[in-house]
Amino acid sequence: MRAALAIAAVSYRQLLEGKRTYLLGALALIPAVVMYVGSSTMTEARAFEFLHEGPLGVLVFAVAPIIALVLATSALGEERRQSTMSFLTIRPIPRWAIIVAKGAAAWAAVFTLVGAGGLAVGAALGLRTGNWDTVTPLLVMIGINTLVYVALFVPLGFLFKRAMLFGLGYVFIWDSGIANVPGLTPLSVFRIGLSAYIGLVPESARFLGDDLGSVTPGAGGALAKGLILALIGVLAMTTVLKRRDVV
Amino acid sequence: MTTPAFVADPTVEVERASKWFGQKVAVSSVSCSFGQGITGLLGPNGAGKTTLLRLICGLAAPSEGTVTVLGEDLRRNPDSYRQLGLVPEEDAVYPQMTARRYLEYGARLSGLADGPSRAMEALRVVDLVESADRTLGGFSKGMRQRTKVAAALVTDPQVLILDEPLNGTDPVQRAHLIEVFRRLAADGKTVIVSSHVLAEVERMADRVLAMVDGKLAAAGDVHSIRAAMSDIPFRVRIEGNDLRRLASELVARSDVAAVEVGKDAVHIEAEDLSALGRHIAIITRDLDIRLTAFQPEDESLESVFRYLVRR
Repeated sequence: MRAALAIAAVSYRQLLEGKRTYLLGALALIPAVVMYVGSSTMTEARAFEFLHEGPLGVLVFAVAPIIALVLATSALGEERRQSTMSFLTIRPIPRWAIIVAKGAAAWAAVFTLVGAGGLAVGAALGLRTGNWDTVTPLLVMIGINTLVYVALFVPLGFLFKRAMLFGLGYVFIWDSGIANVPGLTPLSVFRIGLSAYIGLVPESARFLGDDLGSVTPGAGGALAKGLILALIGVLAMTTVLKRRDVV
Repeated sequence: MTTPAFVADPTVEVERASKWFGQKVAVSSVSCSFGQGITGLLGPNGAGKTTLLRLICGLAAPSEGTVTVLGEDLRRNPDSYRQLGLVPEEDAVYPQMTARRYLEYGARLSGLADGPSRAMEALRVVDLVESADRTLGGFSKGMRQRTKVAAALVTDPQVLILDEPLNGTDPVQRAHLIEVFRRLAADGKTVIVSSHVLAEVERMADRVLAMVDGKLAAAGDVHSIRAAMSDIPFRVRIEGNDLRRLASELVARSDVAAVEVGKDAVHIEAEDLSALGRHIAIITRDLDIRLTAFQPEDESLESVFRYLVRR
């Protein structure tokens, strides 16, 4: 347990150090800036509508997946590139604990940046209109979405050298493209978190209902889906680490 | 009973282990064991040394066969990793970490409570205490190698796997590390050192396993390996007075394969080194020739190894 915590703590620091973090942090704050500047002359109702037509979309469709892709693919991918996987795997630690620690660090790092962006978006609406009700739902949505992205992108980073390319393909071709086809909507990641948000902010369904497709709104269901997918990710990666050569 | 590839009280056992990557066979049905002391694993690049070490460490799974360390399959029982230290060939360090933090991290991952003191002790052993708080990214290759050795020592493992541990070190550091490895062997540790630099292995290993093309080509100490190569005549350099007469006496003998007279010495190739010694003793006594040197030329690890690779 202490070893897994050590891996998580070191990995979290490693993921968030360097210039890259400033760039990703700036990216995460773009929706909040757009929200704050764009809603300067709006009424509360119009600002609420604007949030769901613009900044929230940018946060969910672009900012969250890009930041998750960059950081989560690095979590194990960097260990492999730096040849430090053996440093972790020749320890008396079960492989699943390494994966959980790495995944937790990646999720915490992604959530630190994207969550800050979501918090800032909610705060921008609150500062302009006094409506702070979207802050918690935004954080819940981001928490669930980033969890699922991490469950996908951590293994991707370990298995493929071109993980970034494959991940971008997944996000922009599958998740935001092909998965819009009726019937395929439950298979897209962003809709899982979005369903939680709409479940917590029912009046947002007027603006986001079409994006959700056939997915049923609800935070509990979304959280369960997120946790199940994360568990599948851990099991799959543990199997890979046990069966495949580590270096 | 033991044969040269096996030891009496093994800590590491490799049984018919093979490893292939697609069509390429990296290790082919290797059986051997390792015990206390230093064993040198020799072979040219691509011989399969690193793959065999990875199989031993559980970093790679054998395609066939089994590998155990202290009776355990490491891949099935990660707890046994407490007894294993590894210095990988690659630069497996985190460039942003200081040497001290790198070792403390390793100690924490191995479940040691006294990590900080052990880390400093390990850095002292490899003579890096003064650089403890410098980041590894700014270290020279030799310093990184020593840091990796320290990281392997920090848990005080029973079995140490060292893959080209002296790469990039200067002669003074090399001598120091060889001394460290010898001390560990004297303390009863199993030390397996892979290298393609023969002189290094010759200086530190009590026992040698030579690998060629993924197979075990020879095992034992250098002299016994050489002696077992009966199809290759021994080469001896002889110095003394009246060497031409000695050469003409020897050339007539059927067990002498070749005689080459040089400026200061005569070089003899013979199938049986001890028989040659006896004949030369008789000839020199009868002809009153005084010898000043009788030196086997190919009992060095380098020549033995050259023969093995050429085979």
